[in-house]
Amino acid sequence: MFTLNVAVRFLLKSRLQTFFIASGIAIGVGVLVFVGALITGLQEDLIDTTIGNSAHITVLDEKRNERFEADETLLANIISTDERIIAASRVIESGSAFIDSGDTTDPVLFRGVIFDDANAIYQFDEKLVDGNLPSSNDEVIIGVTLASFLEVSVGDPIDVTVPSGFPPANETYTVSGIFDFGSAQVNTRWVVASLTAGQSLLETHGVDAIEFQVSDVFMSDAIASALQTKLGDNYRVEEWQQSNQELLSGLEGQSISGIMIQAFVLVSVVLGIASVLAISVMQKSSQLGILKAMGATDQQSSLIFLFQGIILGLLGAVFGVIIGIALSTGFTMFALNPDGTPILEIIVRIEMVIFSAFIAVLASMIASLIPARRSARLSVIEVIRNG
Amino acid sequence: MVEIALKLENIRKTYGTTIKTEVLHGINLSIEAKSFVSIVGQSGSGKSTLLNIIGTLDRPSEGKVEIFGKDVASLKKRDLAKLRNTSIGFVFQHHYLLPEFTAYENIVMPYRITHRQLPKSVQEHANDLIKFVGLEAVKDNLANEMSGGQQQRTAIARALINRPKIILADEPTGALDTDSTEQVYKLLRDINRRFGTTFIVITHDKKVAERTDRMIEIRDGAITLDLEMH
Repeated sequence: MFTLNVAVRFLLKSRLQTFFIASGIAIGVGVLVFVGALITGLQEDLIDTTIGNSAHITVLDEKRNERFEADETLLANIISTDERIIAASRVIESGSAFIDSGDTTDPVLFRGVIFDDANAIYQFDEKLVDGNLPSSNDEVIIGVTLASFLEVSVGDPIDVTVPSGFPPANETYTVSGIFDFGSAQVNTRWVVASLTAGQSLLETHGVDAIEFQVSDVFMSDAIASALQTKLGDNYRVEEWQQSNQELLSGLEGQSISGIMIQAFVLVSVVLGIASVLAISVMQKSSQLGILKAMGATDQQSSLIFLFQGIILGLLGAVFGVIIGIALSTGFTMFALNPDGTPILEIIVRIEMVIFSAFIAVLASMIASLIPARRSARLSVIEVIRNG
Repeated sequence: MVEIALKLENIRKTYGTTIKTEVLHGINLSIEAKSFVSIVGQSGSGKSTLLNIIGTLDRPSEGKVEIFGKDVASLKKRDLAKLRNTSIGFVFQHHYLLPEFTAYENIVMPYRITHRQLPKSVQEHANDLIKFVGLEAVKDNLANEMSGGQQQRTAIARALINRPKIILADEPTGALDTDSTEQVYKLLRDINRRFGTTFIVITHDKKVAERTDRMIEIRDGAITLDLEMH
């Protein structure tokens, strides 16, 4: 196509100018990709820390403190509500339990779960630093901090008391494993046994809650409300976003600042292209004049500049993506914690890279609209008369 | 009956909105097809403005321009571009060529403006023209890698590529030395005879003007002399 051909020749003729403007776009795109990856990494990290090992949605009894029967039928019924529900675990717990170690008593959260189900949410199996998951009803696992307080290790007995009944329920368990969740709260407080062990200690057939994880954590509110509708008023459905409003607004603030940075980078890219191409229209006015005299239409004259914008955008996008990925990789390689792990796992998402590249091309095209318009309006007569 | 290539009726051209300056005062002119006409006049006489109006690059403030019987006032901008592309060839004193392209590429440019492909027949035509204007040796040179005379001959070949019926030339030899002027003039004459192309040439060179079929003199925006030379 003749307009594309002229556009390419114009760019090749002023190589240095082309190089500078393409580099400008590339750096802009690089920053877009890097900032995007940084913020995604930061957010995923925060979300993972906050809710990676906890329930996204919890189904409780309507009165909250009452236990309810949760058989397989109910569980299957709930799971079938939404295909984004990826894990479900029944849990019985007693928040007011304590461990009696002779001279001191340590308050604990006693939980009973079916480990096969609960692992899908809590990954107890991966969090064990010593020993194994309980294999019988008289075994429990406890956190590393609690173990060091109590000075117990795998194989030692602990004495759990639940004072809510009368007489208080009391049972001695063997510590079969010690876990580390990287959270002081969990590591000091949790004592986890099998569901049946928990039910027998608390003398019930019911559960306190059914916990769920969903594949899209930000859809938990929609899924929860669908679940609430389905289960009716006898149950109460809670989800993580309700109880983490501060985190959510923090994330939102981060996203907005990221978008602001990206928007300003984009604006400077657009201004750069627009100004260079506008100067180029002046530089090439005699060529454009002669082309118009020979029968090139106004549309063709503007296409020449539109193509220049697109070509510059494509060049900038390709090199920018390379720069962005290099920056991100460099960041994870050189910004390290004392132990050698990256400060932040940066996540370069392919769709984000494609989006940044696409935005660059689009922005370049929009930037070239102004010079394209000038080129279309250029009058042959003026060019010839001032020649 | 002789075919009329160009007919101007009462052409006036005024510049400016607050202070109006009329540079053409009602020009009437009729030019036969296949003729070789020169327009002479001092600078500022309005001859270039007239040529631009004939070439549809500029519109008259008043009056009618007919090119091969077609009133150009009725044409839209896009159609005017098409008309210039197919029927009119331009040769200017300056702005000869696109410096980003070679001589050959410049020559085929008018064809490429309206066609996606460059068929063999057009390539051959371009090569014939290159031979005809004597540019075989420099056809792959970039525009500014040629002498002034070579550049102007490239511009002439380019004006011919779409086989236009009219060629408009504004001081085509104005920037050339005597030898090149002679060469270029002979070339234009040859083209006129061989292809039957109508020529309207602005020149201040009396010797060139005297060798054309008809000489029109413009002074202060009006025709003051109209001579059949043969």
